[in-house]
Amino acid sequence: MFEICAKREVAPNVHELVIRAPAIARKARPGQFAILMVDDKSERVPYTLCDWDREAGTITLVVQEVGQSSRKLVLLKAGDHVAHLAGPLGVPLEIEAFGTVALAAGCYGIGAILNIARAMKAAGNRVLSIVEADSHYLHYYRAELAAVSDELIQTTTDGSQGAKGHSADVIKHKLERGEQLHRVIAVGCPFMMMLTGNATKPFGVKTLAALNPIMLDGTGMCGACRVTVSSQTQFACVDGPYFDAHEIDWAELFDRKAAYSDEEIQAVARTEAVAARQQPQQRRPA
Amino acid sequence: MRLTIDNHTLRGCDGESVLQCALRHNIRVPHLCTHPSLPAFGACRMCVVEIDGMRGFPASCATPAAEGMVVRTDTAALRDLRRSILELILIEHPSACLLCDKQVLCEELRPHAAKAGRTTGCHTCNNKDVCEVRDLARDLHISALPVPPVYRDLPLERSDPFIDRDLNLCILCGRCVRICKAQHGRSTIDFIGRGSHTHIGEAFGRSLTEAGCRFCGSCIDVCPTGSLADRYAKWYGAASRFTATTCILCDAACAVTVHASAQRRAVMAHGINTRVPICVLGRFAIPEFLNGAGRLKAPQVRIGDRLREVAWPQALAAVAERLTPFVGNAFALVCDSTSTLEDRHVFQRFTREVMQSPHYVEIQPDEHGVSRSGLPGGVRAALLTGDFVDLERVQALELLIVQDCYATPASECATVVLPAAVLAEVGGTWVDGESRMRPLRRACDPPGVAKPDWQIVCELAVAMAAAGFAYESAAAVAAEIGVGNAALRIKRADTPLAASDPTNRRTHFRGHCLAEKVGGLRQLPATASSALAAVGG
Repeated sequence: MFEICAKREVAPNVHELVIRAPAIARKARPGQFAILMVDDKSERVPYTLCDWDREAGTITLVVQEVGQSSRKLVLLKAGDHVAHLAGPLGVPLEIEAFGTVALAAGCYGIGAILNIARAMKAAGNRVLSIVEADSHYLHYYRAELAAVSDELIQTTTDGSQGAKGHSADVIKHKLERGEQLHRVIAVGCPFMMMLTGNATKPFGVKTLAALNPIMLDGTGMCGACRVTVSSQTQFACVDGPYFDAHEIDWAELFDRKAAYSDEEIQAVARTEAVAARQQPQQRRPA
Repeated sequence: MRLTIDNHTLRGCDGESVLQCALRHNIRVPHLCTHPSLPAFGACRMCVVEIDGMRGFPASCATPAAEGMVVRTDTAALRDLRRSILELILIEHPSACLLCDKQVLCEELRPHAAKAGRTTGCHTCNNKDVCEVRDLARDLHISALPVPPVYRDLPLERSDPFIDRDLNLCILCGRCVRICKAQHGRSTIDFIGRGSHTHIGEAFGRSLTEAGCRFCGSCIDVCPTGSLADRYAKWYGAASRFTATTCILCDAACAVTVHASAQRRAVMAHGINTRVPICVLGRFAIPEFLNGAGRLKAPQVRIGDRLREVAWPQALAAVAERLTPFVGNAFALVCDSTSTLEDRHVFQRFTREVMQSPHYVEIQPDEHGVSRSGLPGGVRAALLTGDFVDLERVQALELLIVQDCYATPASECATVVLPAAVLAEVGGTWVDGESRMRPLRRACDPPGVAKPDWQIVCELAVAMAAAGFAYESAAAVAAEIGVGNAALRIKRADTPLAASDPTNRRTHFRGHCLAEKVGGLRQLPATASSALAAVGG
């Protein structure tokens, strides 16, 4: 059992959980993830390790409620326990002095790039954190990201904060203006990562995307998380999660992620009312 | 009366609004707070028009059509005005997806909304496929907002049975408040607070249950946004099939429309007559009961000490072989009157002609839907079509065949279990509390290989080499009985008892406790019968 030490809703439907997991915190490296089971009957779900504190023995996850398993997780409170956590899993991200590194992120990815930005900056890179959200009230981690980035650029779909559009638009604009980006790393939904890859491909900028297919064991045994990269079958859990965004078969990834959509809806449909006291604590209006 | 709308001379009806007249003549006027089953309200101002001789821009929904009126519904000034009004609405409604320049590609690659907690845009909205606000924004080509949007940051309300509320999406059109008042005479919900703090809610911060909500679900049916949602149905998106049928969960026999998904699974049901509410069972119980995890999906035959799934021919052959020694008075068939006329006709014929037994037992459920019965003396083999008989008596039988929709303690000790289709999965004729014929129409597929009761018993009779059971359809059985015209009970003067007070709802269907299968019912205030049981009555 792993205790939830702290929990808050950092943006509507986006929850930050700090969980006591000393063994994971001790070994975690940027770009890795952990597989979590809320209870003993629950689905195994991979979540990116957003941050960790080796001394306190805690890890930080950013979780969006988008189905039955994440629903169960975000309904837990500080002091509650999750049944199982396995990690750190996946190949750590290559951290070197590349020059200028652009980190493109959306949704849970905004939390996920926090440790990457810190590590890339420590390695001597110029770090641009380019974060996107639908609207101004969906941005979070502003101060945290600003502290570990050379530049924090926010975009919104509705134009209510920063540039109107997506992080891919910002990257494309920079490249068109002749700015040098030596590496681009995209974390978010496949749609957002695909757009980022499409934006950098004509300029030949190496772009990595953190793939999030349906995953079961996380150790390369079951093959549920297979993805096609450069026409080769790869397992996102042991060969990834980071792959060359220009070589990923995105259409297959979308299809595979939707394979159980009917079952997923049925699972959510059978949920019962949430006791009023169990509701996630409210984010205070800024 | 004659009036002119957009240069067309039209005939108006007495008491009709300008909007109603225009819509009746297929002239599209954007509108939002108006609903066909509600009186005019004039809240949203989307339906503004220009009328000669009238000042400003009157709301066409609240302006009676009059002789000689000259109306314009689509001028540059009106389009600007409507766009501004909708922009104001969208400032308080998560609308980023409507303004996104990647909409087309996004829709193509991820057509289904993510099953989110609080909705923050169309891509996480349960109402995405049928949203009236979204349709209007597209019609009016809204691509930007004049000022940044405001998010109310209200908590997702999901502590009441059956209904989820995300009031961050609410546009305060008041349809829910008005339908509640129109259908029940007294509204459980109302506008609470003032100015920008106005929201829909119950007095004194109570929950829906505490405020005496009747859970008829009509507020959900009229909501133009995703604010009010049926917790069970919300993520299925737009249904692909709509079938008008009769709810047989009680004698009121309300006419309901059952929505089925692309997989032909029942997703939602709602009343057809929007003037009279239906009860919590008709509105919320049907899909959850039909899609329950415990549904019997395949025939099972006891092999050794365990029930094993087999194909239909093997199961029927097993029943035929085992029943043969019990032909005569040792056999009984037990059903209740929630079965269709066709089912009961076939049951009777089978009992009398094939099994040559007088013991056809048809139970009349009590007012709570509970059907219990003993078995006639000397009966050693029985076919039960529901959970009707005490377990002790069942265990004393030499042969037990269960033909039912859910596994029960009785089916666990049966020799053969046959999966039956029920409710909206079957067609046929039903007799309501007023002894009128009501049609049942198949709205969705049964689980697995389950079949309608009449069909199972007919196939069983054929397997036992009986003649005259080769019916083509339920309609062929109906023709043999001479069933007359069955009509849906759409019009009704009175509100069904359980619709005005959910404690009058039935607790059982076909011997099964509904609250065991439908989660929300466990949370509702107790019924009269369970209250009696609690005090040992």
